[in-house]
Amino acid sequence: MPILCSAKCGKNAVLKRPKTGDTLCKECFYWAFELEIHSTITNGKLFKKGDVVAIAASGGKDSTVLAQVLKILNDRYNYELKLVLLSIDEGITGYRDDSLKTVQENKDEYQMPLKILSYEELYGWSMDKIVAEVGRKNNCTFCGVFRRQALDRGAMLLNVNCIATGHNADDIAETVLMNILRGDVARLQRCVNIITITEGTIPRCKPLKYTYEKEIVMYAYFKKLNYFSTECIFAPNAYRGYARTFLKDLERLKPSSIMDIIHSGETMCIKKNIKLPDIGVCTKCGFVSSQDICKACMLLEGLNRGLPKLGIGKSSKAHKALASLPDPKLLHF
Amino acid sequence: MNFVDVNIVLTFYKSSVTMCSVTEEGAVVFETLNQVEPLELKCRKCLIEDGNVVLQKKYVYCKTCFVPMVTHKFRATLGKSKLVNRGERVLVCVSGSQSSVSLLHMIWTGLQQSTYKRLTFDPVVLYIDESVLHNYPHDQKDKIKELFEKYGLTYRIVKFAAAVYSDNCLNEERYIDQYNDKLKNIFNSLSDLTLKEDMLMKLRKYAITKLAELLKCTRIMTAENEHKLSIRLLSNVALGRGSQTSLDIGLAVNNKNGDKTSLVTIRPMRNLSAKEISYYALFNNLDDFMHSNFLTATSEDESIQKTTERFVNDLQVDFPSTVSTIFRTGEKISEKTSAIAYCSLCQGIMDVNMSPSSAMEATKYSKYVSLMGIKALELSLKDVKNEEANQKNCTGCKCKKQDLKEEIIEGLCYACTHIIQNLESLDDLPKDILSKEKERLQFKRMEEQIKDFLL
Repeated sequence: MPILCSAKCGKNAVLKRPKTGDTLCKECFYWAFELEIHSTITNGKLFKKGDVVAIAASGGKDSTVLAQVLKILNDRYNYELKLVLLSIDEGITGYRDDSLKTVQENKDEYQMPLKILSYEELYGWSMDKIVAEVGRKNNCTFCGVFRRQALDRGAMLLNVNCIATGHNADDIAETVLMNILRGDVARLQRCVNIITITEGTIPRCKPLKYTYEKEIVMYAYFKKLNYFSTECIFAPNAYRGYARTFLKDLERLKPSSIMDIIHSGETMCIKKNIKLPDIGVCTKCGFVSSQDICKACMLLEGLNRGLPKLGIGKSSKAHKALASLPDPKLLHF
Repeated sequence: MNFVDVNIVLTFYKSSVTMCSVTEEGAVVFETLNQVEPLELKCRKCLIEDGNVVLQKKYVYCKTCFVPMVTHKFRATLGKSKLVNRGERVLVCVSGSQSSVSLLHMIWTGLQQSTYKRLTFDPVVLYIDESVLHNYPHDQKDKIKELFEKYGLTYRIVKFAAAVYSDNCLNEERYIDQYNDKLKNIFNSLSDLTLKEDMLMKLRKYAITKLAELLKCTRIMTAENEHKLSIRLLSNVALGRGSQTSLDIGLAVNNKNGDKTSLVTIRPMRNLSAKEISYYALFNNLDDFMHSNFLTATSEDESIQKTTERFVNDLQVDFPSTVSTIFRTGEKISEKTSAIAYCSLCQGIMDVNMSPSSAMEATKYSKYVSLMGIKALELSLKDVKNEEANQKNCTGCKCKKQDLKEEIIEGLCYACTHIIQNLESLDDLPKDILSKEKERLQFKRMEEQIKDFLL
């Protein structure tokens, strides 16, 4: 006997929601999925009327679904947002060049302007070149640090009010676990915020914060959305991989685990007497940093001086290494 | 016990693989160290004796220096807390685990020492007999009794069910069969291992707190070590108990704010590793006893707690600082100071006044939206609640029971809600918990009535 849709619409269910276990038909699932994001956006007060919002688009499933859903919701509930796509080209042959094609397709389909910024033009180094210099180990440090700043630079160029990223519930739960494992209490508190506002940068928000990865895939599958799903060709971040596998194990045991972890993250407080790093600006590039010289500048400096390992690891060690170099003033940007 | 010498290194505590009875401490796997890199043979402390233990793969200690080193760590943790006063009655909880027999031994040794180093509190040793839930050898209780007698300290052995249900559990065991059945009912109606274990932890805590009050103790000492506490922290986060972390792993937990005479739980073994405790027990010839929980001898894929344990253990192999990093992160997490409500089951902080943009609200909305489909658009969450309330205004007895459950759930924290939702009947919960809940509801109603006149 076919199972009926639990929303009592009379149709047969075609799927079981990974998040709640309810059985739904295709139409009701679309409604549930979109309404949940709508409720996240309105409850979290993510956007104001008239905002220009940059969608950080990688061409992957999360950002593709985010672009689609934001467009639908913007039209349906009159958010009055101007949506633009912002992509970062890390310069990874065989990976990013392909995924950017997907973003180009999205641009045409959703009729949104698209801006692509490349590491090459921002930093003078593409990831291919960096890997040739650094090797397969630790190259994710470069990519991650550079991307964070690249998004900010791109958003400033586009003059937007806010950047929307495709982080989903799984990503956030994973980050909570990672920060506990790494002992990073400052980030542990920050990572569950739905909007992150740092002085001097453009606010970032995560409209998919409470959306399960599995449901995103489901939505893309039923809507036949085109997305790019290849893993990065350079070594994947091994340590995060452990947290990811652990989270998947937990989800299998109890699907609500992901939400439970986010709930834990949201309700945890840091003791008052714990010293958290002060946030200032980088003396070289003026971007937000907790150190005198930000990580991006440090890494770049290492690359340009032919000491690619310079910025990897503790900042204090890098400072020492830098001070011992001849003529530290001769920094090249 | 002479198989320990330098070239035998306790490498790692991978639990439940080799010995299922010692899951909590982690079974000990001995492995011969290949003499690739010759270690110092002499103890790093006295430089005279040959070493017997290798810690962190590099520090060699002899037996004579190792034991005082471990004892010192324990005394330092206890001393730093400045929480135990002269002559204070302290409830020392012994489960039979290696950690707990070592704790007992350390306290006993401390009491025997010369005046200036002597421990001065008044310990009451407690063993809660859980044989009704787990299969223990039938002579276990006698052996524990024998051990306690040997130490010559004040001790109590109490049946778990009696401690949970009876007000007079120290003196009589009259209705014990009835109580045992109630206890078994609770656990039988929870099919999920994760919840079963979580409930066991909460009921154990409830029993210990109650006994401490009955025995007029103002301090409670439990024997969890660093390794166990890190696993507990991580599984707490996975269960949605993140905000209660300091309650569950902290050194000293005050169960009522600020009051000096209130009950405080102290975990003096928290800075010791499982390995240090194993060797302490070995060198002092301490035998541990079988102590089980619902996860003993279960697979790692059946419960969140066990999955977490495996995850931490596996990670520890590749990244030896894992346990201590997790543990230190946990130390930096505190409870919300603004907390006003406590869960009536676990006494943990309640997550009240959550902002509309939170995981809790999002979960509620998910459930609602997948039941309402497109109708969700027209109705809001509140309308549905009203509608449900109207439908419930019948006199059927089944509804009433459901109502009671919902009312009780209102007084519970996020994670305890999951447990109670899965319970078939609430009749088997300890009556204090139910009555506390009734009291709370009573007050709520009173407040409701007079709220317009309160200034």
